[in-house]
Amino acid sequence: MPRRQNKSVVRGEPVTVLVDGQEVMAHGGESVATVLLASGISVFNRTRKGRPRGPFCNMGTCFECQVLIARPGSSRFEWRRACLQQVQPAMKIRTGELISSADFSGN
Amino acid sequence: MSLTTYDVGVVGGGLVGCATAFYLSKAGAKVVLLERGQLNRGASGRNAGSLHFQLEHRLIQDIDAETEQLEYYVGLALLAIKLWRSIDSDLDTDTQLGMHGGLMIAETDAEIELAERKQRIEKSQGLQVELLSGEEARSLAPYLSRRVRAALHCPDEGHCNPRLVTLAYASQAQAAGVQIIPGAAVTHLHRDSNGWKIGYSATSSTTETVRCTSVLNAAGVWAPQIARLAHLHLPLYPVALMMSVTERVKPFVGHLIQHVGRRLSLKQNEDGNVLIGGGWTGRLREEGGNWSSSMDADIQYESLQGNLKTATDIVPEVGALRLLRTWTGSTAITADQLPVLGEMSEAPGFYVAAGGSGFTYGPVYAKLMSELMLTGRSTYPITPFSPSRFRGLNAFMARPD
Repeated sequence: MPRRQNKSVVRGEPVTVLVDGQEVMAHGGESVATVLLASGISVFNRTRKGRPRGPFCNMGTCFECQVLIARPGSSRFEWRRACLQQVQPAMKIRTGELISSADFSGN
Repeated sequence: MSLTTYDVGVVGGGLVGCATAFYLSKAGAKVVLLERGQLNRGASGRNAGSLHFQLEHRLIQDIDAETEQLEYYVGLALLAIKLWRSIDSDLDTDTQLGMHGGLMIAETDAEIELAERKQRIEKSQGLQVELLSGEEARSLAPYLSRRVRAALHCPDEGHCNPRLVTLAYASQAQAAGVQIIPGAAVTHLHRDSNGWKIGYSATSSTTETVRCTSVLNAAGVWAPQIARLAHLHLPLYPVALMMSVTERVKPFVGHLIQHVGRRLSLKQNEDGNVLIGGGWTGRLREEGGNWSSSMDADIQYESLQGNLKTATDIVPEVGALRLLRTWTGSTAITADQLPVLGEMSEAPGFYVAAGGSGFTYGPVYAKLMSELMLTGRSTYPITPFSPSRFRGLNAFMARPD
């Protein structure tokens, strides 16, 4: 299970996000991808045949790291690249969902 | 020095080249295919995979002048439909083929009238097309906007994955004995009493030569350059087109959408992405006073805006999707917009197959060319597309025998 390295590292302010309904501690400035990987999640979404997918390029070009994200205070989930999205307090994240099942409202 | 000898040397590893090599080898010919870069990297691999058997927007703008040729082209469409329907079993693969129908949209009175005339030509040749009212079109395709006043429905149209088809043909061709040589840029073409010799660069510093009875120029946008090696004019001109793809979403567009009077092609693939194109132009690069053959064409934002506006006018829900990427691809076109298929009589044994909707018709061009090259005849006549229609250009170009 991946762990954060804490020796000689100064991290941002603690931030709480919801991942698949569970509260997860993160730090300000981290990407959603970092937070998910650090909490042991490697399946970010699934293909239409159910095959697991996770981060690959980590720089926003491959789209493999997409997860469903709803902004704090909103119930509207949208597919976003986890590697490019910074965590925000009370952000809601859903992982492991079928990417081609998305409809236009992201539900 | 003895050279390896082949029945046919195919120049160009796109869809037409690989498919012709396949059909030739299945008929018993010994074939070598020379591709200067990698297979399928030109227009063959960059198009949107439309299977449009109706007469396209670009062909009907001068419909009265070209009726006879258009009727002829429709006949070819019927053969293409048959070939596509069996492609997965012929190539023993899954090409993500879908032939669930196409709708060609009309919004204005003029477009509806053009649709009616087009339909008459198509029906006269036996193509199944039906003009639907806007309401009928929307009951078949609820995602269409109310701007749609009529639509020509062709139940055989659809799409296939261009990233898979060429490679499937190449793989089967290799299994049947074709020598496929990537990284082989053809630099010399020479005809003598024993046939043709093709010289190509094998590495940056060495050249190889093969001998062939016949040569097939299937080099797409580079076909005129290959013809130049045989000291011939081949009047094909490059055009750059743009394609866009959206994020994946659950299936909601089940047809190939085109338009009678505006530039549009729109479809949704098996993964859920929506592919948008339809003939919007990119900008060709220039190099040394000529159109560049090595640099990709540039995207033009005005084209992208126009393309996306047309798409959202006809399928409004597309407007909610995020665009993933846009790219260009260059293909070659003749002055009459029809393909060039056949032997160049000024250089016996030198055949050309280029131009004219090379994805939808690629397999059928390849099949007919393989027949022509091996037997001197094809099961569907392709003489209207012969390069002999340009013979005036080459009257003083052929090398004396």
